[in-house]
Amino acid sequence: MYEIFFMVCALLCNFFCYCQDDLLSVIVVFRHGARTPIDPYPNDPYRNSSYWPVGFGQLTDAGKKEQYELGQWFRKRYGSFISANYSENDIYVKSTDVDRTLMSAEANLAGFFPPQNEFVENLAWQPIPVHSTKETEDELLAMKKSCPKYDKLSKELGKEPFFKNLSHTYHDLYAYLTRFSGTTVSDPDTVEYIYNTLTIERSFNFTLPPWTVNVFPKKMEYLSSLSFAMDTYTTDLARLKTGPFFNLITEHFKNVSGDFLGHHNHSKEDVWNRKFLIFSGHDTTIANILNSMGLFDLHSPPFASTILFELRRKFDNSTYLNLFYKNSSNPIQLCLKGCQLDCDLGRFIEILEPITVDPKRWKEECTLSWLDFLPFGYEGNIVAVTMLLSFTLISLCLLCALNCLKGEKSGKALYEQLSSEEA
Amino acid sequence: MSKLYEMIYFYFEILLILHWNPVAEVSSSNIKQIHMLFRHGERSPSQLYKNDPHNASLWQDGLGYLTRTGKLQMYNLGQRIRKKYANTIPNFYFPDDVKVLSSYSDRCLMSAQLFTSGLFVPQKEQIWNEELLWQPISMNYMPRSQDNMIASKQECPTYDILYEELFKSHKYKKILQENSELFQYLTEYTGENIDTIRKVEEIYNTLQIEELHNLTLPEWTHEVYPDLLKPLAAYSLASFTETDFMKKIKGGPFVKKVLKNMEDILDNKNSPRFFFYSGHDLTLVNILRTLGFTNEMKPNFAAYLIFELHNTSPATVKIFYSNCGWCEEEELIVQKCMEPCTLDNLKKNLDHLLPLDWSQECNNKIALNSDDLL
Repeated sequence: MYEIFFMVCALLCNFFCYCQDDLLSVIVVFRHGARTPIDPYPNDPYRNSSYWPVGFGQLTDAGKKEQYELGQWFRKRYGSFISANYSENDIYVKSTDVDRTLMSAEANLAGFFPPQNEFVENLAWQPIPVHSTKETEDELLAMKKSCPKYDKLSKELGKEPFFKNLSHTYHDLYAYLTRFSGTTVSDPDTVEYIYNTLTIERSFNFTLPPWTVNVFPKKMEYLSSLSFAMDTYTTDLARLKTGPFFNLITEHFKNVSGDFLGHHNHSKEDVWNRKFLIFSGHDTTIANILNSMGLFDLHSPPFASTILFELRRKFDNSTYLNLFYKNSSNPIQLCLKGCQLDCDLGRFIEILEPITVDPKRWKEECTLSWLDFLPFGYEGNIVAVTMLLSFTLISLCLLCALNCLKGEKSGKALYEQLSSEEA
Repeated sequence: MSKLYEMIYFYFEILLILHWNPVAEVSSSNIKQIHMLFRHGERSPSQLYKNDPHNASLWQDGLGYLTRTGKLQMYNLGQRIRKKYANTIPNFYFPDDVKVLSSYSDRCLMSAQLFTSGLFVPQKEQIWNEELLWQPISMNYMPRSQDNMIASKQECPTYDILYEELFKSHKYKKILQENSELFQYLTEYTGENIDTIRKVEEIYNTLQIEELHNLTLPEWTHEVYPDLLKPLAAYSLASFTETDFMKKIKGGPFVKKVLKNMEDILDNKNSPRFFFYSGHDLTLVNILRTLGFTNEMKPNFAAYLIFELHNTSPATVKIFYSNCGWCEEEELIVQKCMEPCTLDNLKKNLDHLLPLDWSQECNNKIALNSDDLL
């Protein structure tokens, strides 16, 4: 009797353990596949475009393949979630407005959605729309729409002691790179720009010039990686850089889960409510998103590296998020600070709240107020302004008081005069 | 005997090729730049009318989407253009040399992908996947609200006022009067209130697509489709560019861009050589009418318009139009720009239809009198 009971228990347990929770929605963000250098440094021996199979900054054949394979990996991982028959009601694809990311998205989709029913014989491809917004208008993915407040904060970051010290510590490296590369190197971004080019040249098996032996890759690695964290170094920077993105995904999850009563639901037709969203971006996109969430280990995000957000529902009807980062063949699961690996959706949204901002508010927060034009830092400015205001107020009062006194006197005099005239 | 048979067959084949290849290959390549605008491929109806016996579930890919035939049409159009410009457009795809601009709509984006896939089938080193003779091609589009060139949906207050005025004009009222029975008839049978030419056009489109898909059209349509509906549908498309000002707003920006790109490449400014635009029937009509081809027409799927800039001295422009992706091409001669039509001459002829400052013209106050304008 006991045995049977035990067996039933074991079976039931097995059933629950093996029955994976329902997948509700997936958002993926990837970096484009392999490309050529964007703009070789001035003294680069491979500066001539004839060394390269495609133009500068363009996707290479290897890059197309990489993305195609990533698409195949999506098909494998999400095969039971997304029908093999492409339907525009299932997915929405957004890319930054750059050739290599647009082409990456297309190559990825070719792997993700090979046609079930070819329209041209022996051509295992079908068209799938890829959307994009002009970079200067795109605060969501390219994160390049003008934001004066961000620019100001970013400039101020350089004056922080840590970054000031950095210039001291790496003075020699900067000087060395400046001398050999032919361009002025004085910050992590420029180091990254050279590092990036050298990495690609190495991957093409090009012989690097002798001067690089001393510094590449080891000595340049840290600053290159650091440059990726700088865009979102503080919460304020992170909020202005990635706020619209996090706003979009949290709104999306709220809508898809349907758990948030009173939440203003967008229409079903809203493209952002489709159950699979694909974003095609850059290394900076990957780094910014991870670092804003406090999940960025300093490194240069490799080609086709991918962030996966998976929203699932437990059998008890609660919804949670799983986060993964895939920068090699297997994705690593990430754990948001203050949350479980299976991060309750409500908690997830709460944790991200400081770096979430809707586009309208974002625009307001990006505007510089006149407070921003004083040179004492934000709090300093408030103190300065308060002092200035109080001073002005007191002065005004004093002036007024003086005037009143004077007025009284002259008033009397006038009255006397008038009365004398009348008389 | 069999040899004779073969010879005859061969002869016929040649005849067939000669006869059935409606697009002549452009032999020498002194073409400096090409602009090509096409309408998307066959689509499912954008909307069904109330009493439509065929319901939406028939259209697997959803309403307003490209059909399988439509996909093939666009791919084949790419191959047709490859053949036509074999000596002009390189076999290799170079993103810096090819600019693809689409309307915002999915069917146009997909048509652009299909067209370029047929045009740039990867060759030699560009084959990145032996199993898949396809390569990704970069393309852009403008959001609907900022597109005054292809979808032409950017807001233009002055234009909107004029367009409204059009419907108060004698010409339009006369059309309504003459067709009042038809409107009544359509209203009765479709279950929709058909009271504008725009609505007639929509019904026409739906019926045309259903007919193409061998769906049996209801009895009542035989009286009116296509003969009575088609001219009204064509007029509906033409109505957007009735006056010079309207041409300037709806067709001007595109023509201006084409001429500007041509001047740029002649001035050795950095400019792509090949431009492809993926748009709608209305885009084609707007631009054709701006160029002076005002015969009312209804461009079919994959219809296209090509501008070739020839590297002659002085530089000349040739324009071709094909009313569908598989129809015969015809050369269009712009009025007062007899061959050889130089770029300068063309520009001079069209100058009054090119907006100087589009946004400003859209906000100009105009004294209105609908019949003066026509």
